[in-house]
Amino acid sequence: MIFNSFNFVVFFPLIFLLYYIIPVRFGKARNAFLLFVSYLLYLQWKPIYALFLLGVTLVTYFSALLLPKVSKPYLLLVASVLLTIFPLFFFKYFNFVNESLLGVLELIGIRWNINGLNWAIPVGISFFTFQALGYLWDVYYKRIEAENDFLSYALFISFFPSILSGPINKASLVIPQIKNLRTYFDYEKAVKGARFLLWGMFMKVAVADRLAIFVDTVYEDYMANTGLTCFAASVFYSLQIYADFAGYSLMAIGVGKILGFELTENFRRPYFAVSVTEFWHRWHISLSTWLKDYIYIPLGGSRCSKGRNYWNIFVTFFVSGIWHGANWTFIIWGCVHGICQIFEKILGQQKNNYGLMGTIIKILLTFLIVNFAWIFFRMPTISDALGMIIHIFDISQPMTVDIPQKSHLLVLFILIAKDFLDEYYSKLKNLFDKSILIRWSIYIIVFVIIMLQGVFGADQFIYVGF
Amino acid sequence: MKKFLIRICVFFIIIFLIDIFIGRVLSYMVANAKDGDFKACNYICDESLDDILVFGSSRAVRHYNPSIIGDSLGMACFNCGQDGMGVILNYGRYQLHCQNHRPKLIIYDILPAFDLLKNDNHKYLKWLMPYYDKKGIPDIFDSVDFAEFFKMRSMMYRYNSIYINVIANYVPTNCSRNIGYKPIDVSVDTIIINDHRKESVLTYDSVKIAFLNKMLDLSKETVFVFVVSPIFYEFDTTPLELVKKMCKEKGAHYIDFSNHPKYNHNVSYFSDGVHMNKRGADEFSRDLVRELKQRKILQIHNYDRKD
Repeated sequence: MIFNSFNFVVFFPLIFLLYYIIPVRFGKARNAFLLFVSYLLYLQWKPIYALFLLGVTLVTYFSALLLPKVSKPYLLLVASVLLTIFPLFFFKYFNFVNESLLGVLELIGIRWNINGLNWAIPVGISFFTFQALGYLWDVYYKRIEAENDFLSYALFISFFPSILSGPINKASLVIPQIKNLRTYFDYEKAVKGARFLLWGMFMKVAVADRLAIFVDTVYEDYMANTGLTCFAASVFYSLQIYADFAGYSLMAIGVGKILGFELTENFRRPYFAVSVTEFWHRWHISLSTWLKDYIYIPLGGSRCSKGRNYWNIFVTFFVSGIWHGANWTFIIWGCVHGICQIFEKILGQQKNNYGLMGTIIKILLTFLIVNFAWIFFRMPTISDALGMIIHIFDISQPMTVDIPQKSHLLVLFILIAKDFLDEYYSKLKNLFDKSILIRWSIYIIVFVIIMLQGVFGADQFIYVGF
Repeated sequence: MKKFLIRICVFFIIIFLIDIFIGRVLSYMVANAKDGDFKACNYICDESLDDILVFGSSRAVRHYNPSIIGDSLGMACFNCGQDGMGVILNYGRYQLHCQNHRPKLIIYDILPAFDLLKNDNHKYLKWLMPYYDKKGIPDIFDSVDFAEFFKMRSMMYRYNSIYINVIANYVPTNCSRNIGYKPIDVSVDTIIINDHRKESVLTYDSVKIAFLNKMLDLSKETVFVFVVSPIFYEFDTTPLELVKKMCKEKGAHYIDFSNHPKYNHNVSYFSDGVHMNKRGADEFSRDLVRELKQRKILQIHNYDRKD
C-alpha cells in the first residue's frame, strides 16, 4: 500500500482498529490478520503476481527446513537460491540480458531476434526476494534456526509496511517479534511511529514530490536549460531521491511501530557523510548490510590481500548497481560508488581526519561525487547522463539558474535544518521531548506544511520501481 | 491505547480549527486580490464583459496582445491564459465567466501536451481550487479524480502550492503589473534555443477531450477559433488532427501558424523554443487578426462591427 495514497488514509485506521480488537492472547490470530491484510493489499496491484510472492515464500521456507537435514546442503542452497531468484531475473533482467546479448552477437555479425517481455514487474520483488534469500543464507550459515511456523515466516516476507520498498529486514530481527506475544499496545512506540509517519509524509509529499516537478522538467529536456539550472536540478534530484526513499522507509518503520513492530533503520542523514564509504553506512542501510553479509563477506571481505579486498568492494557495488535496475546506467552508478570506495581505502580517506574545515570540505566533496553519480541513476541512457554532465560544465552558456517555484527552497531548508540539528545538536532533542508545547507546535506546523505544500496526486515512490 | 486515540483526536480537532482559519484568511485574500494571477482570475470569473477572450497555456499568455486584437477587431479583448495550464482549467474559467457574460469570440491557443494528450491531470486543477465552491466546479474535480471531493473538504488544501501566490497577489505592490497578457522582453542576442524534443507515443486523454467538447458545446453562440501559434522549430501537428475533426463537427475554426515560414527559426521573434518575445507576439497578433478578417470568421457570425 502506497502510504501517500487515498487508500492508506482510509484503510490504515481500519486495519489499526481491527488489529487491536483482537485480544493479545490470540497472538496467532493477530499474525494471521496481518498476513491476510498484507496479501490482500498485495493483490491490489496485480492479483496473479501474489503467486510469485507465495512461491518465493514456499521455496525458501521448505528449503530452510531441509537444509540441516540433507547430506549436501550446499547443493540444496544453490538450487533454492536459483529457484528463488528466477522470478526476479525473469521479470527484471530478461529484457536487459536479451538486449545486451543480441547487441554483442550483432557486433560479431550474427543477427538474431528474440522478442523482449512487455510485462510489468511484480512490485517489491527485489525487496522480498532479497529478504527471503537473506533468511536462507542465515539458516545455511547457522546464524539462525530454520523457522517451523509457516504463518510467522510468511508474515515476515509479506509484512505490508515493508514489502514494497523495504527496509530489507533480517529474519533474526522480525521473526522473534512475530512469534513472541507482543504487548497489547505500546504507547511510546506508537507515538514514535506516528511521529515517523508524519515526518516521512512530509519528506515524501512536501519535499520529494514537490522537487520532482522541477527535476523532471529539467531532466527530460536538459539541453533547453542552462548548465547551472541542470546542476541545480541534479542537486534537487539528490535531495528528492533521499526524501522519497527515506520518507518511505520512515513511514514503513512508523506503521510497523504503530502495530508494535521494530523494523530495520534504513537512513541516517546520508548527505552528512565525509566519504562515499561512510555514505553507504548511512544510505539504504538494510541493503548495504545485506550486501555486506551475503556478498562482501562471503567473497572474503577485508580479511584477505589488498587487491582481493578492492575486488570484493567492486563486485559488491557492481551487484548493488544491478539490483537497482536492469540498465547499464545503474551498473555504472554502482561501479562509480565501488571505485570511489576503493580509492578512499587506498588513500586512507574513509573517515574524517582534518578537523572542522576538513569535515566541511569532505562532506561537500562526497556530496558532489554522489550527486554526479545520481545523474547516471536518473537518466535513461549513458549518453544522456554524459550529455547532461558535459552540459553542466559547458561554460559558454549564461550563468543563470531558473527555479520557477521558490517554495521548494522553504521545504528544503526545513529538511536540511532538521537533519543538521539531528546530526550535530542531538541534545536539542531533550527540549523536544520535555516540552509538549514545542512538540505539538512542530507536529501542527509540519502537518500544515504538508497540506499547503504537499503533492497529493503524485505517482509512486521511486524505489517501488526497483 | 485510550490515551493515544484521545491525543490523535485532539490533534485532528486542532488541525480542523487551523484548517478553517487558514482557509478563511486565504479565501479573503483571493477575493480581494490586488494583483497578479488571482486578480486576473477574479476578473475573468466575476467582472469581465470583454467580447474576445484568449485561452491557453503560457504560449497564450505571451503570444496574444489583447490591445492589438481588440483594437483591430473593435471589441474588448482579454487574455485569460495561464502558465502550464490546459483545457481543464480553461473550461472551468470559461464556465465561470459564462455565468455572467457570453463572449463573442474565443481564441483558444491549443497545445497537444496540455489539451489533448495523457498526463497527470491533477496539476490542471491548481488554479481552480480556490473557486471550488462556485457552481459547476466540483464536477470538474470529480471528472479528474473522485478523491478530489474528499481532499477539497480541507479549506487549507484548496490553497495547496498556491498560497504564496495568494499572499503575493494580496499585498499591494508599488509597481503594479498588468494582468492577463504578459509579454517577454528578451534581447535577441542572449537567447538560446535548443531543439531537444523527444519522440513519444501519442495517447489521447479522454478527460481532456471531453472537456474540449464541453467547452465547444458551451460556446454555441460564440465564434470559437483554435489557433496553433508560432513555434521556433518545426512542429508535429499529427495530434491536432483530432481538433480539426472536432472543428468540422462543431462548427469551430482552426488556424495553424506552427509551421509558418515567417516565424520558423526566426530568432528575432522568440525568447526560447516555444515562447515568442514581445516583438513576435505583436507581429503574430496582427497576422492573426488579418487571418480572421481574411477568413471572414466574424462576418459569418454577424459579429464584425468595423467592416
